[in-house]
Formats: sequence, structure tokens, C-alpha cells
Amino acid sequence: MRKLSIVTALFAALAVSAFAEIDVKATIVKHLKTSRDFTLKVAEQMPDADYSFKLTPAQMSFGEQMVHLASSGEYFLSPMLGEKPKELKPASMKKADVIAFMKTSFDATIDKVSKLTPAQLTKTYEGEGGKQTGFDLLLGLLDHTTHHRASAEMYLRAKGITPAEYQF
Amino acid sequence: MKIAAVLVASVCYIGLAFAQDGHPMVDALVKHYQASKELTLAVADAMPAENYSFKATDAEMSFGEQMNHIAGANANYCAAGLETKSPLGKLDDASKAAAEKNINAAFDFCIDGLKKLTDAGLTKVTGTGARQATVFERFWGGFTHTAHHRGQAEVYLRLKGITPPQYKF
Repeated sequence: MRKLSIVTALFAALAVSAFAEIDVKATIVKHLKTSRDFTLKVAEQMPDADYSFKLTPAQMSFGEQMVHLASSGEYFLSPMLGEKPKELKPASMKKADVIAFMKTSFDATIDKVSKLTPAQLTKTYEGEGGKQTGFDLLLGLLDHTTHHRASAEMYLRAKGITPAEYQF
Repeated sequence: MKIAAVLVASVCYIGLAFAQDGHPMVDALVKHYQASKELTLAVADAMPAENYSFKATDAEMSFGEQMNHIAGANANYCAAGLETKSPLGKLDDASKAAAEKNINAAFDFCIDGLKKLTDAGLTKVTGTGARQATVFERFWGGFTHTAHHRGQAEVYLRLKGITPPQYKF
């Protein structure tokens, strides 16, 4: 009887954890992939000569926006992985190098997120942004990319280019 | 036997970490929706009323239209998640006063609706065919759509010589 109830409890726990993990992590990975593809489209749309363009002096250049959003995966994931974020940089600020850097960074981020455990997602981490769970950090990563990509889309419009259709 | 029980207990603990502490996914969404409401209202407020008709290029929406679009779309995404109708009608008045009222109404509708949900409720699939999505995705879709348009609107502020409010999440 006791054994049976333990087995029942085990199955119940597995069901809940699988539920939460499949739904949250798989959903986030799906949207990270869409975000990667959409952001790469925006990056492709700007001509190489305009990678140094900025709308106002206080802003980052188009290329800097791309590098900033692509390298931010390191910062959002490092608390969960218990690592210090690495300072990643492209070989140069030329379009081809920036895009190559973005592809590598996005894929590394997606790979790391897809390997996170339910415990890493639910744990609370103390960081610069205060207390955040792994779930918060992943949503923050997506939001941060959206925020900077939107700025970059305004740079495209200023150059007479209609940004790629919004994807989520 | 004892070891097995301990093992089961630890698995349960890890597995139920989300469930044990109320509804952490719902709580997280409420927290971030509140931050998004504050940031969006701060951006709306930073633009003077007379510049609500400003657009950076001809093809774009005016600043006021961006604000109304954020409000209307957010309410639609949340209504889909809550399987109800958006409380916002057609948003024709793109003045500062009207837009701020719409942003408040849309975010309050989303936040009040979220507070009534459970974490299990967030995993429910709604819609049919290609429009199928979980309730979580409806809310997160609305959230991301806001960030997309607010990010553009912040550049309108910069073009008017106004430094946008500090990003928050």
C-alpha cells in the first residue's frame, strides 16, 4: 500500500514537472527561434554601408544594436548556468561579421536554453535586476531583444527601407 | 525503502516547485505586465500632447496611433487568452488623453484577467488550426507586441529631443 502511494506520488510529480517543462521551455525555445529568424531578417535588410548609422547621437549604431542584442543571451543565462558572462564580440563591425556573430550567439543561446532543467527555471537568482527566477530571465531575454530590434527597425525606416514583417 | 522515499520526496520537490508556491508563472506575468504598463505610460507621458500626431516617416503610425495600437492589440491578445471579448472599442481618438486612458484600460483588463488564472490554466490551448496557441502565448504575444511598438515610439521621442524613460521589465 505504502509502496503504491509512493509510486502514485512519483507519477503525479513527474506529470506536473513534465507539464511545466514542456510547456514553458519548449514554448520559449520556439519563440527564441522566431526571434532569431526575425532579427536576422532585420539585420540583413540594412546595407553594410549603414551599419554605423544612428538616428540620434545618443543612440547605438545599427551594428551596435545588433551586437548588443545578440550578445545579451550570455548575461541573461549566466545566473542559471552559474557562470560569469563572457564578453563576446564580432570579428569586426562589418555587416558580414556582425551577422555571423549573431547567428553563432543566437544558436548558442537556444542550445543552452533547450538544456535547462525545470529546477534551473524555477530557482530564484539574485542579480543586477533584483531577484529573478529562471523563467523571468528567459522572458527578459526575449523582451530585451524585442526592445532593441524595434529601435533598429526605426533605423531601417529612416533609410527608406520597410522593415520585415513582424513575427512572434 | 527509506532511500526510495527520500528520492521520491526530492523528485516531488523539484517537480512541484512551480505548483507548491501558488502560481509562480501567473505571478511572474502579472509582475511583468505591471512593469510594462508603467513603462508604456511613462513613454506616453513623455511625449507632449501636441506631438501625438508626429510620425518619423510617412508610412508609419503617428505616436498617438502607436499608443492606441499597443492598447487595442494588447486587449485583443488578452481577450483571446481569457476567451472573452476585448473591452476596448474602435480607437479613433489618438489624442494624448484618450491614448493614456486606453493604455490604462487595456493593461488593467489584462492584469485583472491574469490574476484570475492558474499556472495550469496558462497551458491550455485555445483557438484552432494555425491560430492555435496556449493561454501563456496569448499573454506573452501581447507583451512582446507592446515592446515592439513601444520600442519604436521611444525612437519618436528621441527624434523630438526627448530621452526615453529608463527601460524596465
